[in-house]
Amino acid sequence: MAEAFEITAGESRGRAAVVRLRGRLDAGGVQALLNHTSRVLAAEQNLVLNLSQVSFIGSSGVGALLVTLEMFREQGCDVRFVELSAAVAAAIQVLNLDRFLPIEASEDVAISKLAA
Amino acid sequence: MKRVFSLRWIVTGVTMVLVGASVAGVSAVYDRAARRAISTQVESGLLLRARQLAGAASGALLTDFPELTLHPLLRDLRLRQPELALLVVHDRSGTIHGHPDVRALGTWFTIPKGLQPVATDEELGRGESLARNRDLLVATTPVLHPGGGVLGAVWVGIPHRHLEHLLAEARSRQRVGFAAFAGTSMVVALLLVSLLLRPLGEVRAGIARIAGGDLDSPLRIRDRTELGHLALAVNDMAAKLKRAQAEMLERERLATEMGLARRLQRSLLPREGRAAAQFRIEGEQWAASEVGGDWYDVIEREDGRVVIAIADVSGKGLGGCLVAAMLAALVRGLRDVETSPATLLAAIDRRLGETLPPGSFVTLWYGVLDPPTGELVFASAGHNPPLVLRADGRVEWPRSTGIPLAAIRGGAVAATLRDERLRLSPGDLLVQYTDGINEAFVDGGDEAFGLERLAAAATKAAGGGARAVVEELHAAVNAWRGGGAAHDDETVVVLQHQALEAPGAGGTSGNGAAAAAPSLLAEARRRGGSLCIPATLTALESLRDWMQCQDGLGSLGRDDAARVELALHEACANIVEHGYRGRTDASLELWWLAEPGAGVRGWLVILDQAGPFRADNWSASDFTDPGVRRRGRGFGLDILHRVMSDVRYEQAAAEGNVTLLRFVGTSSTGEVVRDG
Repeated sequence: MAEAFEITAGESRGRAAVVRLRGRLDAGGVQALLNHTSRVLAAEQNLVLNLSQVSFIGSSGVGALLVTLEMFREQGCDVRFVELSAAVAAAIQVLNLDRFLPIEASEDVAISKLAA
Repeated sequence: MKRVFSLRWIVTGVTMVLVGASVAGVSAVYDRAARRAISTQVESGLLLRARQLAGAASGALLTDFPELTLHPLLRDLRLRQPELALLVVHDRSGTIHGHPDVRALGTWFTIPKGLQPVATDEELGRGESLARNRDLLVATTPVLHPGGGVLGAVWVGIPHRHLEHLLAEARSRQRVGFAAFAGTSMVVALLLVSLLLRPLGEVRAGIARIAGGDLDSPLRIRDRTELGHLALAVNDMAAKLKRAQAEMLERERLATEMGLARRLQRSLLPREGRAAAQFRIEGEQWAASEVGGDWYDVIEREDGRVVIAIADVSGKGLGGCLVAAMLAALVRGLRDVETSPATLLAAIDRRLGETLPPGSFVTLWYGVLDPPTGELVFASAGHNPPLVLRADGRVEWPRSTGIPLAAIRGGAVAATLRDERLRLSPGDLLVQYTDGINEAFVDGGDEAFGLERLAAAATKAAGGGARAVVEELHAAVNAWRGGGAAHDDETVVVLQHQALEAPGAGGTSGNGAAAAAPSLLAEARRRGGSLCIPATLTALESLRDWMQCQDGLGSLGRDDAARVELALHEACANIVEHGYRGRTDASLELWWLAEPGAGVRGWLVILDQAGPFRADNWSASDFTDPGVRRRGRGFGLDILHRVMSDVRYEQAAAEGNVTLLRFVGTSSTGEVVRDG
């Protein structure tokens, strides 16, 4: 049963673009993710990335999250990762990356923090 | 149901047939007799009439005008007896002087034609005759002068018709009579049969009652016929049935109780073998009677140690079973409270002493095994010493002092109990048993199976594992008894330290690795249960489901399961991306080799046929380096090494490349074994 990787753009709230991911994020989906986030960056928006529906994230997916964060910060924008699914949380925890990734509990919290 | 033929109607019917036949027979006979009687009657009547007339005519014929006397006489007679068809008086010359019809007077008398004399019993006088022709029966009498001369004759005739008529009358009278007789006999027959058969109805009702289960109401038939005997026989049968039923109920009740006791007995014993770390513990009991008096148990303590207990109760059957139940409860209740076997046995001794009937006692051997170290602490209350078979073949019988529990009341047993220790190393075997094993005798023989044979049997089967040793001991004792019945319960518990061929002591890659891969792969193939998938990223989606079906992996908590899946995915993804480099026809196969014991641990074995590779000199990524984070690549090996306690790559000749991942899960105390 293929859990296809999907990227859904939510409504923008102010300067924050909400993007929701769904399915398995492994090497196959990384490029699509980076393309999408690049477009968000090109629009000079902040990114709120909702990971609640990510059923699996491989190392390349984690790498993509890190790259995205670096990309945005270099350009003066910011990223918040919200509602980590169990799979994402496990991957982050294994690599002890939780101190490097800004994680918020919900989209609303992330948006208000980005606005501040 | 077949048509029922009523006896009543059969008998009546037969009676009717018989009556009918006899009536017909009688009727035929009667008919003939009647005919003769009537004929005779008619004949004599005729003759009499003729003689009477002759007497009257005698005087008349002497006168000048006999017609004057005779005609009225005959006319009268004709009126009175119209059936007399012929009535003639004539004189010597044949001239008719007497005739009912006036016109016939004076004419000549013509003798009726065709007259033949009739044989008769009547006495015929001189000149008299009795004759018949086709129509008439005729009697003739001469008219005699008082002096003796013949003056004339009298002719009297009666038609046969009349006779037949008389006969018919008689017959119909007879028929009525016979019909009445037949009717009466049918009614009488019916009544009689009904009367006789009434008791039969009673018998049938009685048998129906018995069939319905009522064995207490005997038939009351005071009949002296065969039916009375039948009733007696039925009553007798009912009484016997009642006794048999009572016996059967009693047997059933006993069997049910024994069945319950047997189930209770079986429920006290472990249902199946058990594994604890590298140990395999198997046991079995073969009960001598229906309910055994031996007991054994293998139970875990809260601290992960395993209790092995075996007991022999000095009482078979139901009594022994109940004591075993008591022991089971006491051991289970106390096992977490007391760490010292001797103390625990002393506690049990006190309880048993209060409860057991005087003279009863129990031998009990109690051991506590620490699976990770193989250390066993034990104490024995009068039980046989266990057999310890070392990996190198040495045989030991480690003893402990101690007299049986409740052998002496009042707590004196406690002082004799002492803890002993031993350590079981890989390949060692421990066997505990009850008397039924070592003291098995051939019927009529004088030599017991003995401890040496026990050791020999265990040695013979040790290579096959704990279960094999259990079976071998049973077979050997059976053979020793020559197939005869056992007099005592035979109970065996076998403890074996097995070790999976774990290469090295865990640790860093490459240590003693050369021998590891082929043996793990061989073990993997032996166990089966592999997942074989095409070497594509999409196919790796099936890793999660496969993991959930695996012994141990399937019971991991959510976080642990996610970690293992992550690591496994990374290892496989590496093979897909770097090993096969996009080949679509390739596949990889993986196994999980679970190891017994507390927590989840084992080896994941991945086999691929990609090109040979060199194991990377991997070093952990430094995530504090932004450059590392920016690159965002190469984290797969980090994940792998953080989740797995050992990661190796081997080339198994001709088979392909083997990736070995050792996973050691959280211990039972919840500590994370390896820090992330």
